[in-house]
Amino acid sequence: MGETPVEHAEPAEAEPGAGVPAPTSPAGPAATGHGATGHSASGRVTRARRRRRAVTLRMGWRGRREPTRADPSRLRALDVVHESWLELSRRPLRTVLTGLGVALGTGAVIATQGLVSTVRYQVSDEFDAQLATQVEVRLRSAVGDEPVGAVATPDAGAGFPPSAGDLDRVAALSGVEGVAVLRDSQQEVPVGLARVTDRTTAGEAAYVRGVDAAGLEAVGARITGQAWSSWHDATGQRVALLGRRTADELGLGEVRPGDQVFVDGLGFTLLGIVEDGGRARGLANGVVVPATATGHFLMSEERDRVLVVTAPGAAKDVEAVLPVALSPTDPERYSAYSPTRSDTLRRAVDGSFHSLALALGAVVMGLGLVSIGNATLTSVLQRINEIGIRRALGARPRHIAAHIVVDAALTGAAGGLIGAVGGLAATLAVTAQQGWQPVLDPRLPPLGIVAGALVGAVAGLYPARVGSRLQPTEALRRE
Amino acid sequence: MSGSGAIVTCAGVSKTYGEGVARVEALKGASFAVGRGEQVAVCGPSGSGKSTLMNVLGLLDVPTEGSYELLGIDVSALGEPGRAGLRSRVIGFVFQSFHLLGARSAAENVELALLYSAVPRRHRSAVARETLARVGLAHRADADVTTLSGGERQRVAIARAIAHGPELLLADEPTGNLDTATSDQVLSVLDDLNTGDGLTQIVVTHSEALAARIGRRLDVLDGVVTDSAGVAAAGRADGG
Repeated sequence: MGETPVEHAEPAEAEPGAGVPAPTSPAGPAATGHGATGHSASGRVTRARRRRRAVTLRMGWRGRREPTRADPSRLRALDVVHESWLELSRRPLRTVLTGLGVALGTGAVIATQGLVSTVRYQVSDEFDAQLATQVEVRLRSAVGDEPVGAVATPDAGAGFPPSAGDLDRVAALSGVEGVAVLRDSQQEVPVGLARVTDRTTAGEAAYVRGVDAAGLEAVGARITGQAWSSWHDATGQRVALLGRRTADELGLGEVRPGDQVFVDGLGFTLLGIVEDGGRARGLANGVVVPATATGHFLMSEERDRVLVVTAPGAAKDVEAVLPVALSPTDPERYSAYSPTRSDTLRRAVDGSFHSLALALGAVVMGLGLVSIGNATLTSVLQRINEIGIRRALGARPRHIAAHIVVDAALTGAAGGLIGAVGGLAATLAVTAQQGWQPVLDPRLPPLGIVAGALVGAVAGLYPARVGSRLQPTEALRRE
Repeated sequence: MSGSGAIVTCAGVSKTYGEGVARVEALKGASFAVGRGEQVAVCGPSGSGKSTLMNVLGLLDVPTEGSYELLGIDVSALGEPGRAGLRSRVIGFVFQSFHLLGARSAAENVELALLYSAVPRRHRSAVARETLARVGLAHRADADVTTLSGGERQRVAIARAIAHGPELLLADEPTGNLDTATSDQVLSVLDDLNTGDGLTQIVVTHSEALAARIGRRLDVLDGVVTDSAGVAAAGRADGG
């Protein structure tokens, strides 16, 4: 007890300066009180107090000197997080259920986003390779770009198919790799098969497709047997190919020399079978004859078209000059159309998908906010006693508020994490099942966690206000 | 100025709640002083104002009138931040119903005593274990407090009340929920802290036996505090 009298003297000296709230000596009784009498724990505290200045984040008191006894109490930001971690990690199920709304919101946004970008990638992969390199030209009158009155010009019918010279000019355009004239009959016509060995088979109904020899090559049609040549085109020879589907309907496996096909009663020499129409899918379904030999049938002017295959990236340029190249004297006659225009449409579709996903996510996040806010408020009301204890131990109202907001924010972050994992899993499951290459934005999962934490923090504001306004004496009375 | 070593100096401390007909005078002009190293029993029936007195002394409540000096610091001049600062450094609380946090270990509960003075966690942990050893619970440091007996819980609560090295221990019926045997254990811990470390203690009790064991006694009846140390205490308070 040797030091005790010295300590007793110290507050007395401070008293004349009445009103000054603290003894001036920083190493006052707080530092030496029990240490002097062998209380090793408080000795440790004193060392800790000196050391902490360098390493703590402060909440409240910001001075650089050693705190006197009446300086505000302090709470390190890291400790707030650790306290919330203790609270939440020991009640994992409650934490997860509380954060479920946020989990669903985050998951919905991430899954939708992942699926939309994956699908878009798939579509562009397939779509663009084919369609960014082709332009279709139709008679403007057939497309309906012109008033009906203008369609009935005397030479409207004479516009299709374009003459060989016109087509040559198109083929000579820079960026053009192939030109195909394609025509279709208005209706299906009876088609029968006459083979050298067999009798004529029963007729099937099929469309007549007109195409030129260069066109078959340009569209990349895969043919077994043989195609015709430009000579057949020029002379309007009655030769034909059968689409694979029509051949199957007629029970024809492979073409033998001498096989004939009767189309609407007219005999055509059968040269082969179109296994795959390439860019002109319709060629695999129907009877394919030279475009110049279609005069025997009623053709659909609406479906008459010239398909121009271009080098990659050239479609737009070719599209711009095609009508002039085909008909220098009357470019208005033709209308060119590049399917890459559907990019715009697709973007619009994607855009509405995205806004839908975001709206859905926002609604679910709103529910998550309410659910976390509600659960946090309930938890505050259940832990009133704990709030009283913390106040007695030196917590200030703002410390209580910080505990509550961080509790809620961590709950939200946990929800965001679960949602991110769930959303990714859903995306991967769907893409794996579809055999797609998943396309994911790597920023989304961390963003989901941050968004969850923010939603939680906002949800914690009102409970924090309630909790921090409790009177400690009241709070300690509750059990 | 023989009382210059006073930890607590109250002069005319009053506390009233409510207004008009609902006005309650919970404390009426309490004047007394408690010197360093004293152990004081506060006795009185329920509703007499003991709790209000303890709340005022523990800086959880603010007196309506009068002056209260803690360690020579005029507490009425402080705002809540300063009072919270004093609570975190100078005062230790022991409650009748322990008030430990469930789902936490004994050591984690004791660490809370240092949380609001920004002591780094590993120091808090070390201090908590040392303090638990002092109350004979080193072996239970990692036990969840809900698995502890009443006596053990109260000793954890005492460890929490002293871990930060306070100058004043306020105990509100510390043995009120305990049987005689465990009460004796808890009381001997408190006695050790008083006689061994010179820790000033103010203990609220209903028990005459406990009051008799403690040397000095403050009686509270209808908000009036009577000091068994009598006129001397009033004189000290006036001197402050």
